[in-house]
Amino acid sequence: MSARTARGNRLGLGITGSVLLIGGGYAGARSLGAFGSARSAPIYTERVANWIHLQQSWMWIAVAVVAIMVAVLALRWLIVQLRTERLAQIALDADGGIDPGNGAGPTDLPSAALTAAVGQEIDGYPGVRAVKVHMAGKPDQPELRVEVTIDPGVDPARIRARIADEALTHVRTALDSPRLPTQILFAVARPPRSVRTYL
Amino acid sequence: MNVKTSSQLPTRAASPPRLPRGSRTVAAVIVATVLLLTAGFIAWQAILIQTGQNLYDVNASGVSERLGRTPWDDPGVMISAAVTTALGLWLVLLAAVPPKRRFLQLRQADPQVVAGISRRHLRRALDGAAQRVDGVRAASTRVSRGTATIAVTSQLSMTGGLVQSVEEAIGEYLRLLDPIKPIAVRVRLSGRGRR
Repeated sequence: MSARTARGNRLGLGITGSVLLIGGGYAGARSLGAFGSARSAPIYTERVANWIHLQQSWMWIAVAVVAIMVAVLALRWLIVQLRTERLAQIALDADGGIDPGNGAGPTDLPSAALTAAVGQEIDGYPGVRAVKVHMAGKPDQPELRVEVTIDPGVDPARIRARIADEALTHVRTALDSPRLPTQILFAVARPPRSVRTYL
Repeated sequence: MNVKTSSQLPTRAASPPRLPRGSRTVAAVIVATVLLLTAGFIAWQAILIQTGQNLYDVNASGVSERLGRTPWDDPGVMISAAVTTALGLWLVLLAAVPPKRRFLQLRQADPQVVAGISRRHLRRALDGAAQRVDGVRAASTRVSRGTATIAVTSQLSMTGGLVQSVEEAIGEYLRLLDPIKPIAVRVRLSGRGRR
């Protein structure tokens, strides 16, 4: 799930909610006799029916066009839920560092090569049960995402310090860039079935 | 003359990474699906009307006749309006209110690194820390509003000092985990395990 999708969801829900709120609020207000109209007046009056009949030549085309547009937007909204923030390539400049976008002839490094190396290193620390690493962000502004599962009894501070001081330093050196925003999410492995000790 | 070359340009300020938050995916999928089906149906019916084909799915004249007989203050209209308004308000609130934080942020010296642990895994970690205390048979943690409440059961007949030992163990684990917002610890010795 990317940040763009999260923003889109917020916008979509806000617009849909506003339309429902305005429509429902209007109908509710008419039911309670607002706008100076009779509460017993029918919803679908002769006047409206005649108007629709007169506009028949274009009205249904307009309805169909608007409905198709809404349907296409809704379909796109559904599809973007599958969008991930994973980055496949990192842009490197001619010197092998992260290309800041100044057109120095970038080459691309597959991020899998880097994430595999980081994952392997962290996986080797004592107390680490599992680790997942991927890159996110933009090719010229990559970010590292680490999900590490630790054993229940180990010192989380020590593993955190090792990741920050060793693994991340190695990646930054490899990328020749002091800048690599990193997100580390910790998980704790399920403890083994407790052994009961009776005294 | 003061011409800045690209190497002198300040590098773009590094935005500190953030922990993931909920992104309202479930609500978005439901609303988008309902919109897609509704809009698709309306488009299909509008095209059928325009091309003069029979509306074999909707009896349009029946619907308009019924609406022509229904007044605005009909209970059905009022209930539908109330439900629609409530649904709209709920969606607007869902969009406006920031989603719940799923991760607790842990202190990290490097400003380029953000570390976090989910509530579920914090609970699991604290359960484990309590269970490693001698005399604790089982532990179950709840975390809410900055307080971790650990309910422990013990197989010991004399449980004096056990609560304090668990508090110390949990406190030590939290000190190592080092969450940015401090977490208060409450330990309850449940009667079930006492003998």
